[in-house]
Amino acid sequence: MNWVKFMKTDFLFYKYQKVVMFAFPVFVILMSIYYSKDMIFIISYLCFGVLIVSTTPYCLENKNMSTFIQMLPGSDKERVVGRFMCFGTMLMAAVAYGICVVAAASWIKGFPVTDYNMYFSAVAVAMSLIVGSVQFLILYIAGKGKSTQWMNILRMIPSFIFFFLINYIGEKGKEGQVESSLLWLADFFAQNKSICLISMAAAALLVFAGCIFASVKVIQRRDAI
Amino acid sequence: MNAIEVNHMSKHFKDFSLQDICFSLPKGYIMGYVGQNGAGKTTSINLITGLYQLTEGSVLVDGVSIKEDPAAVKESIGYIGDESYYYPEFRIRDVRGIMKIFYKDFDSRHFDDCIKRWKLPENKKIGDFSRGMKIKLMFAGVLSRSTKVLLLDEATSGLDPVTREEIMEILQNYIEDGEHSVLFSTHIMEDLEQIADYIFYIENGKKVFCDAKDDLLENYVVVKGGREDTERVKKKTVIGFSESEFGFYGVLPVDEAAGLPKEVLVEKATVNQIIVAFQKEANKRKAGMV
Amino acid sequence: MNIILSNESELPIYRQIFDQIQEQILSGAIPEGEVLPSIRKLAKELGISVITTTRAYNELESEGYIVSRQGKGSIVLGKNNSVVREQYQKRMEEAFEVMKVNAKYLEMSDEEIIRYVEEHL
Repeated sequence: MNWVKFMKTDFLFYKYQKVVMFAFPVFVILMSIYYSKDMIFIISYLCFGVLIVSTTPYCLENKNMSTFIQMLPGSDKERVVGRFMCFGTMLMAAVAYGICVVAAASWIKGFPVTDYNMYFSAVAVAMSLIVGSVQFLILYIAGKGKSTQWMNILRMIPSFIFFFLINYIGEKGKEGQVESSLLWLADFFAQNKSICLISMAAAALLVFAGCIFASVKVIQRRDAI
Repeated sequence: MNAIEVNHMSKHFKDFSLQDICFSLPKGYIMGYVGQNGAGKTTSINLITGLYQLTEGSVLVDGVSIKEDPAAVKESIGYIGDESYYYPEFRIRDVRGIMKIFYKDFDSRHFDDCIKRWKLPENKKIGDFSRGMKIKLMFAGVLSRSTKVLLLDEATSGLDPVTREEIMEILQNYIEDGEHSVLFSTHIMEDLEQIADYIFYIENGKKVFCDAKDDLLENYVVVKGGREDTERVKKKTVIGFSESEFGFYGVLPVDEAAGLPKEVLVEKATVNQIIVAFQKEANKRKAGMV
Repeated sequence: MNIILSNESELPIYRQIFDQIQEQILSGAIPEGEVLPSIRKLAKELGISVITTTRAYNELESEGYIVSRQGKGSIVLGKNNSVVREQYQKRMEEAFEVMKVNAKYLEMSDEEIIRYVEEHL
């Protein structure tokens, strides 16, 4: 259970990112007032935000800080699990927040949230869990010590790809303009909603765990700083 | 059991190698680790803390091997670097918080005493501290844990003399009970002249010597003389030899100083003079090879 | 107990400590039975290496001025201790030699020397 300590340490970094941490939720509220019909957009925007912000502890950590953190008693596995769980927890919290905000906005505005919106949002969350995990794995493989500009680009790419992809597909799907090749997938999904959702959740968790495992392997063989 | 035991420690980088380093630091003593920039001091210390992985050899801290139990080793070691290793945006209470989370034996009261004694500002960003304050904060953190060994990597460079003296006092207090030990790497010989028990000198990734400081001081002398005696002295194994318009200077093993003409001045050498002489020899060799 | 170390002196530091403690024991400034500060305490107070103070105390012990016991520290041995007596004996002989040399320079006869000693006792 030592990983909880490392997770708490990562969260401590955010204490001083007050601007982002405050502005972002407010922005989401504003957006849902304007775009309340577009739950997918809001949820995916939330996930996109979390994907970017969650890499903060990793990227903020300069060489000296790494020395301190690496000297804290704990194994490599606990460090990595702590970091991934910080991201995971943040994602879940953000999604819960987003759902509340959208539900409130929809209720106020007086129209229901469609099934399609809800299911697709669930897909978006599962996908962002996957993208985030892979993003961390990529960051661990890249290692520290590369130029900060490169790091800043690297941490943005997966999130942007994810965001635009989700929105594109979501939009197309809504208007029924899904590609013919994917039609069977949409149908399959519509027919077996629960199974698909459960398997998506399972897949996301598997990727999450797998990336943790792989990241540990990557850093175990390397020098810590 | 020794505080630190290093056996054939080696590390290979692309452009630098640490080769076959062996030494022991007995419990309750202070060892100075000296060498020029790039000689391998930081690499050695990083290998002992486990931050770098050993290419070859073994390191035991308080009898425990790094490979077998890295967490136990990290608990025994108090590390202080030459730059602050806390997140610059943190305040002191954040450091206190992290220490409490990770170290069961963290003594908050002792930590607060240190903060008060050294007048460290509670509400300032650590990034805005002066260099002396940053180092003292690291000490406050480390001294409030129960450690067996302190490892300092050039922690005193850039500090004013009064602060350096305070730190030397801290180190001597730390080893007073005979159970705690200190290994510190430094350029600043004054620190070693006083309190070091042992001196390890490294050059180009290799150990040159590791001796008790008192033995070192007894084994070497400084010789100075007029130009007419230069040839006599040059025949001996003099190190750090230099000549000026008015005479020569060198460091000589004490048994070779016997039999020198009376006109040659022979006097006690300081640690600084001995080490600098060795370093000049090493540089001469390097220049000669190039 | 006072210890005043000189960096200028040709004597190594352990030797200076030895000499000064020896002197104070002989003069009685450090009384018999007094427990000397521990090796580590002395090193810390003087700001010098532990090995140095260890060596000074080892020499004092091997010369018979003190005795060190685990847990009890280092204790000064008494005036009646033969080593101390020997030291005083040696010093008296040395002083006497000096007196003889000086008296010879002054061309004092043996009787004059004895009279001088009697007058000044």
